[in-house]
Amino acid sequence: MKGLALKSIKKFIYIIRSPDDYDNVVKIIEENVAEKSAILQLSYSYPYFMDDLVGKKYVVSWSEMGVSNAIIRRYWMNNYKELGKKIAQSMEVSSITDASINNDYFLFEVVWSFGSKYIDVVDSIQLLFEKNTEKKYFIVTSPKCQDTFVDQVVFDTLRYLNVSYEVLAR
Amino acid sequence: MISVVFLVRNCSISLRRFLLLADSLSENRVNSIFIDLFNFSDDIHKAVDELNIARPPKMVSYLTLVKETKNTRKTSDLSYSEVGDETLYENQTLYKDKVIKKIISSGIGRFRFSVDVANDFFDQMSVTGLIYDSEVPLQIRAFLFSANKRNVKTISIQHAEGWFDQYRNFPLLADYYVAYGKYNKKVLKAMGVDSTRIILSGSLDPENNGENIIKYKNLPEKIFLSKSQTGSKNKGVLVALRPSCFLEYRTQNEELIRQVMDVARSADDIQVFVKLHPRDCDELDAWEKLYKSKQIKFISGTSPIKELLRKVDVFVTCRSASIIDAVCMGKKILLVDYVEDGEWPPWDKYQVYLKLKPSNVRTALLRTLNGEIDYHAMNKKREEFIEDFRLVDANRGIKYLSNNLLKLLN
Repeated sequence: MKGLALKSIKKFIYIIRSPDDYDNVVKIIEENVAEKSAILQLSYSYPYFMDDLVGKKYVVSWSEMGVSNAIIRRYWMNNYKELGKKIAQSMEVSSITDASINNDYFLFEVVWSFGSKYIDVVDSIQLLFEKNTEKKYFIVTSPKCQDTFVDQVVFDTLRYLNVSYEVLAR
Repeated sequence: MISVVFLVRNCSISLRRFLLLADSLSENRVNSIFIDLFNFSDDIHKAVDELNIARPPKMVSYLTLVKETKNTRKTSDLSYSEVGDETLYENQTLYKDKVIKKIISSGIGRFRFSVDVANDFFDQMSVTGLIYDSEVPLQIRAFLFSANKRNVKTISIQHAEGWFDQYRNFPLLADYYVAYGKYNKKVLKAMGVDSTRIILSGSLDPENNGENIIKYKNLPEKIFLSKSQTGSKNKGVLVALRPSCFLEYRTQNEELIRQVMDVARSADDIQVFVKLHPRDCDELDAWEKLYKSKQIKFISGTSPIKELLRKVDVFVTCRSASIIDAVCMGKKILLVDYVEDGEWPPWDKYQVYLKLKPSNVRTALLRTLNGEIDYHAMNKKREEFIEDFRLVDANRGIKYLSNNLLKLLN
């Protein structure tokens, strides 16, 4: 297995959104508690849970952190009909009657987004902390995309799980 | 003159079939336009060259269509700051509802923009048919939506021979569906597609139906050791990887190669060929740097797997459409059974391969190469398997499909 073997519990997990953030994060790690730190990569675009940087110092794969099959769950695909029904109801409540969007072609987009950018992300982040039960995690995410949907879902999930996090200012 | 649009979303096997179909249609004066959705022009040109396509289709870049679109509608990315509310998150139902509403509102802009691009294209071109292989990309669905409003006939071509069960839940967005084999036709009917809207094309790979064998000019033949170089005992093992761009697959690929190479190193006469997944177009150099051994050769994901299978005795793979090729060619197949592999056709019941756990590859491969496993026993239902999953029929294939499409489009 490449990368850092997780023999000890990591209290500091740095989720970086771009390989460009790697050097900065390493600097911070080495100025602090290096032996208890790990870096995970959550890329800007689907399938988000990437391991491209595995092999570099401090970088671990998602599966090593207990988040297995994060990308190949395809919840949206396996539960398309159920999700589609719920979303169609939501569109109805929102009085979306415009035929240009009230159709299967657009509904498909919403089901895909909801499943891949929300359900799979929440599940994976929750799994990360279920599998690493030691409390007092300190999460630092890189700032580049802090206003994107996936970032917001990650932050909200961390707050819900009562996990301290900090957004690293670039 | 009839014009048909092909939506190209990657450089996988579908591209090859699209090119062959466009070539066949061109013999009947049908003009084909390939819309390159994600900037694969180099791969498309390479495939045109490899297939010796005499009349290449017209290529159009989707990016160019976006730049040239008359509509100034702005697309919006999903911006979610207002959802971030920890008190709201406590109420998961309310939170999810708000998330869905936000996705809908931001998705509307992107969808309408993509429809505008498609509308502008159709306004400028007189198009009769639209051919695609997956409805997942937004751009493809926008083209389908636009085509539907204009009476442009839409035709879905199965993108791999084995990969259909995952789509069972999807809505039916095409006017017509192409099924390569009887099993897929059965699946489409179960999904609600009327028989009159299904074209049972048979295999679209000409060599399967006894049509002209395509010669791949650029296949790297030199990688294979000739008998005179290796002696008659040389054993070839082909390993087909999963897409390494995915989180879990890369690790599984590395573990698979490690086990196969453990076996290869135990004897001088074993040559291992590792074919990358077609999705990993740019990964060849990276893999070659990782494993430096004369016993292992990495092959580009876009190389035709049939040509590679011809050179080997043993095929190690996961669930993939290439299983069908290997069964047809009577190879000894070791199928690595990864538990998370979603729904696939019921291939297991035919017992045409050795199914094994990922950790058992090393032992099973060694026993296979030593002749300790009876693969002849796995041939009992081979014919039945081929009949269901690859309809090999001299009367079907690319030309048959091309003729049927002509009837639909005229």
